Amino acid sequence: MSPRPAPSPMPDDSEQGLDHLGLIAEMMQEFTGSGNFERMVHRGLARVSRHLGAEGSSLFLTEPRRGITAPDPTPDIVCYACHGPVDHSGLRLAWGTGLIGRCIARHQSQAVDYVHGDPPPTDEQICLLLGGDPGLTLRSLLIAPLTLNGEALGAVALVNKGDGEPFSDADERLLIALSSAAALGIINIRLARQLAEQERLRHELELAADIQRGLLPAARDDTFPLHGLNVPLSQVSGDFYDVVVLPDGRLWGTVADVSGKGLNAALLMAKTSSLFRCLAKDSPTPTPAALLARISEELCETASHGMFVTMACLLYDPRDQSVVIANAGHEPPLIHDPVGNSFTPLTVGGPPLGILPGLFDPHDAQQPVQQRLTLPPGASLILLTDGLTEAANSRGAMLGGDGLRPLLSATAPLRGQDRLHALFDLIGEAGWNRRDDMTVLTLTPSPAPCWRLDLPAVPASLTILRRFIHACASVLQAPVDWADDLVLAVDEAAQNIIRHGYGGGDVQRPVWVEVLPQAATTDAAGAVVVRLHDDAPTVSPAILTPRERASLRPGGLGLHFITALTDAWELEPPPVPHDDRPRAGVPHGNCLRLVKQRPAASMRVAVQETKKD
Amino acid sequence: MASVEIRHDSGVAIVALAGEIDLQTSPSVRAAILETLALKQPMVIDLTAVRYIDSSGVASLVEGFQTARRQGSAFILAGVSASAMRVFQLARLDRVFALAETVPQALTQARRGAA
Repeated sequence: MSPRPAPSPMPDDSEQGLDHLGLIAEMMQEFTGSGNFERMVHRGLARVSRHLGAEGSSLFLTEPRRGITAPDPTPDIVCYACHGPVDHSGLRLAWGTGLIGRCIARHQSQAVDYVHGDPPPTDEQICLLLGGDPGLTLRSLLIAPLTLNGEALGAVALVNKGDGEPFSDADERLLIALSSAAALGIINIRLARQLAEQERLRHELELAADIQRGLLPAARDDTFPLHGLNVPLSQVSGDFYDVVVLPDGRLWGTVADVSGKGLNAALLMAKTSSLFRCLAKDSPTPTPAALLARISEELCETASHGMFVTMACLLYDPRDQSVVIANAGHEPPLIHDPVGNSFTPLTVGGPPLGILPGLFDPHDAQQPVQQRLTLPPGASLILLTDGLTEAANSRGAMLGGDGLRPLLSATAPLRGQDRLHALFDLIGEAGWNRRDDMTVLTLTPSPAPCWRLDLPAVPASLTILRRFIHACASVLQAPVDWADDLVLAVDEAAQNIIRHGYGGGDVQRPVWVEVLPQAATTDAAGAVVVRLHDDAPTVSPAILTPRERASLRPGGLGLHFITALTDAWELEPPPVPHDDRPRAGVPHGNCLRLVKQRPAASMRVAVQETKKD
Repeated sequence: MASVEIRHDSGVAIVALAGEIDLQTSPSVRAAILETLALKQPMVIDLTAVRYIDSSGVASLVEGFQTARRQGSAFILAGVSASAMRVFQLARLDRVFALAETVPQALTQARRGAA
């Protein structure tokens, strides 16, 4: 038995060489084509056996060990196909086993002559190569590795040279050359199969995503108090929201986030969402905490691989406008009151669902998991997943809860699905990229009479401010031109505060803007008042005079624009200080009040609703 | 969010602006215009994709206009939307800037001016 240095693939005898070259060319053509792999291999083995006068031949291929998905450094060796008297295809060997294993591991051909010198074959070798058939004698062996770019793909083995002689050097060179062609072919086929597999997976994911979208409730019109939106990061989502209407008019709403990502998360999401729908409709124990506890028990019965679900769930009763809300390890829901632009996180809650039976206890006296509340007029209850707060900018910083609040406030004037779409759009416009599924659900029982937005006094806040004013104008059904004018006027006023009040901007200092629609009278449609507040040194009204056109210089146009675009503006007496911070010497605080009359034919609806409150 | 792209078309510099030109984005618009004007070529500002412009954006254009005038280069605004025109009118600049409906028309105008 001798491992030999790799001989040249060109045989020395020229006539035989031409014959061999013909075979190599044919096999090359066949292996690199796109035909049927199985047929190609069987034909190839038969042809090589015939050409080299071997009694039988086998193809062994490496295959990652079971359960290993990454490239496997020591894969199994599997007999893929045989030609000749015995068939042991399907035989699986551990890495490095026997002559075949050594040939593959060392990338070295092996030739054995049992008749003329090498020690008799072991039982194992007989078993491996002849399938243990006692009627056959193992006389000689030739094994060549299949290697491409250093990657061990497998080996080709020839058994028993027909004339009783051992395999020659020329045979070995030829087999090595043929193996190289076969290696190319195998890589070719493997790539084609991977592509086909990827395409199949993509198609299946699309189907799964379709079904998943079907699990979400249909969008409702703006008068409905509950609205949700889910935007998956990839095709399928581990988040969901749902809304269930009970026959007595009460509404269930939920938002949940399944741990992990991908198909397994999507499947658990589908299960949790089905449980929610069934139990919300039929549960004899109708509190959100009891519902979450039931879902947790069901999930625990079939829990797998440490996956769990965080979920917040509410039950809204429109008759007394009360809300009962329970939370299982989910982001704290927020109450947003647009009148004062306050955010109140609801921190009551228990552990996530599906971890251990009994762990989520609806009656936990130490740590209550549920609370009852009534929302202030115009306020919203906002349930969201961490995909919103974990959106990141180009520098890798996360939006976070504090960063999200101005975006929630800026889109709060809008109703229904518009509000949620505007929120997701604004997250992108403000430079935050999604890194996870994003889901949000809002409960807004009544429209707000006015709105407020708080922003840091920096130029980047202006995009958010403009979206806010547009949102207010849109919900007031203002014409586009009117809205554009108000947006420009407010933007100019905020610019002046940032540039002159805060010396170019200060992220630690506030600007806050209130939009107050005034009720219509019998002869007028009513105005919209916008008040811009800041905490900068108090300005004397005398210095605020629009510049003449002649004195136009960069940035000096603002007041001229404000005057042209509004019906009136004035500096109000400074309001109460924003905080208790001591301020050196000069008085601080300004309030600029802009008034813009609404065009007569618009905004009837909004005025009626405002009066109602 | 705004973007600025500069390209050259047979001796004319084209500064294409897109998005919202405000206090946040106008400094980069101003810098791009002034740096490109240093090449002393006729300039076309393509405003077709500008969705919003405020007084700070207008000021950047005015500064470009003044610089171009001083060095004798053409300075033409192309593709001005109705909302941008409204802002120019408010600033009484609609008759000050040279305007063209499209970029090709602006290029023709710029070459005629340069000849």
